[in-house]
Amino acid sequence: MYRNFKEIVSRAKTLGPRKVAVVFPDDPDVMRAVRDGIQENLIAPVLIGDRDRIESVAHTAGLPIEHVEIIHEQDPQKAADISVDMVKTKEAAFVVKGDILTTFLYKALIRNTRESDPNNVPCTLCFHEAEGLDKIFLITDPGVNIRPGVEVKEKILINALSCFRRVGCSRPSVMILAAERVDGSNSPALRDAAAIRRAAEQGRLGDCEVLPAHHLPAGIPDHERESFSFPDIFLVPNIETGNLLVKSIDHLLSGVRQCVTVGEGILLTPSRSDGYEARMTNLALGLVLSSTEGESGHATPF
Amino acid sequence: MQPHFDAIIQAAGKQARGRSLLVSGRHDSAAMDAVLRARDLGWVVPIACGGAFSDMSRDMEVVCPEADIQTARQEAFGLAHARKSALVLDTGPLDPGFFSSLTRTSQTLSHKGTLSYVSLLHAPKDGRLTLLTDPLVDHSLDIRDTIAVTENAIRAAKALGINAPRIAVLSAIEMVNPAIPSTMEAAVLSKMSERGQFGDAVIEGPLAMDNAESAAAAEHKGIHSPVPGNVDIYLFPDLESAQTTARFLTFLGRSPLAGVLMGTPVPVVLRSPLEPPESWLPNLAAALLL
Repeated sequence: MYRNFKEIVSRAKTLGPRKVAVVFPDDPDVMRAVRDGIQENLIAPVLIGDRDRIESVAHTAGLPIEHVEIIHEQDPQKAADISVDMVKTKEAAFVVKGDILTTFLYKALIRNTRESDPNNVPCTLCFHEAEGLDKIFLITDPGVNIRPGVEVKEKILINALSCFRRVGCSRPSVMILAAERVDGSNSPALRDAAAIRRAAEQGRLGDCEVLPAHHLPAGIPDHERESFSFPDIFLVPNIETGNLLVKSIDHLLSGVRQCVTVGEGILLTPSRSDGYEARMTNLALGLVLSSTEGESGHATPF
Repeated sequence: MQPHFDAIIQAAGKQARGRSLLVSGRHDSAAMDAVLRARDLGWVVPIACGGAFSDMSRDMEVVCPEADIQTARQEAFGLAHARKSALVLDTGPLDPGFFSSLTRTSQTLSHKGTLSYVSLLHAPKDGRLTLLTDPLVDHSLDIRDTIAVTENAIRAAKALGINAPRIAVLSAIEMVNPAIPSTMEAAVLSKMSERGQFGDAVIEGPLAMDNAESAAAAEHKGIHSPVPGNVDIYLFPDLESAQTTARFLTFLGRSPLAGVLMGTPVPVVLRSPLEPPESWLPNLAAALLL
């Protein structure tokens, strides 16, 4: 089990270089990450976008472009489609988002996933590091599914479990988040959580532990906090909860986050504001997740 | 004790004037410690209601010493209403019985307020007093309800010394998207604020948490507003997102919460499950300031 992103970066260096598709890399931070990704033997990129702009930014970033494959495509949707198709045909290990709206890539991934495996549900997985916690944890889905029903939640969780096993945790613990209701009312989130627990007990989710609690403890003394076993995966009830939670950890708690979107293929979706180091870590995470080594047992969705 | 909520405790101290405090619920030593401390500070004159407090008669007047929790609660609400500027402190359990007592009292008194809870925290990053709503009460997706919850939070902020509060109406994205109804509610609140319908409070939304927290991130998305980077009140789109975020903030940020219940027929102090026992005193102090 990798305890932090640094360990993932070290591991990635033994797995590369892999061919990857970079969409609209004509941004200085993206291009520098591409340059160093090549130098560090992590990636062999195919750059998709406006050829002139790519060459100009590559030149500024000090990336010798002669030996790098470029696919000239100015239309963002077409560029996204090309990249996702390359992953589908196994030509590329994963897609790296450059200076392009995520929506175009989501659309391409959703289309491809629907065509290839209607049972798979594309979803965003956010890996986090937080101060005072000696582990990586994952929150899903803050990006794709707005108000997933119980079946979709189960499929999201299958993707999350598969990815978490790839970062070396053979039996992830899962907390299905649902607010505590003091007025005694039930809620869809609680009902879904119970159903997913049953699915886990029936073995439909592979090796994992779905915890009985639906929320982190609050108002407890420090010694109880220290002995609390922090879950590996948190499944949120809706997109607002997921999105607000992952960004609160970034901004209010100074955490570090790495996002990928998975479905029929892996899409690295760094934030626009991510700097160079975060983008390099993102590449490393892509390499570890797209490597089948370390995967234990359960059917893999990609 | 929490040094964190010192400012609220001090402000309550300055207003100390021996208001009647009706205590209901079960026996809870942390709560009773806070009540006795508030009495010693001259903030309140406590009166305990119900059999749960029969052994407290040395420390305070005990009324209805035979009554069970529900009956005593009802009595406490009634007595608090009858006395000028009295409050209720309910030690729990915070269960359906508590909420039905509140509802019954509201009906009896023809009280029209919308019940909502406002959490108070010192932001882990810069220590600033920040309000977060609503992590406790489930609200329907109805704009009238959302407006009432917003007004409750503004009232709480002003009572706690935050003038012209800046409010971020949060959602998953900053664009208005019919597929995510909370973005539409946020847009309505934002427009109402622009028209001055919330007085001097400034409301911006929808905002994702990154644009709420960073003026630069907001500018990058074309949001020109004084709210991003300076948020006093986070208005969450639903109970799930508010409570989950609050729990992560307290667990990972080690930032304890306090809170106030708004929209009640008489002022009610309680401790939500999100708060440690030490929050009884700041919760009582905050209620005294309302």
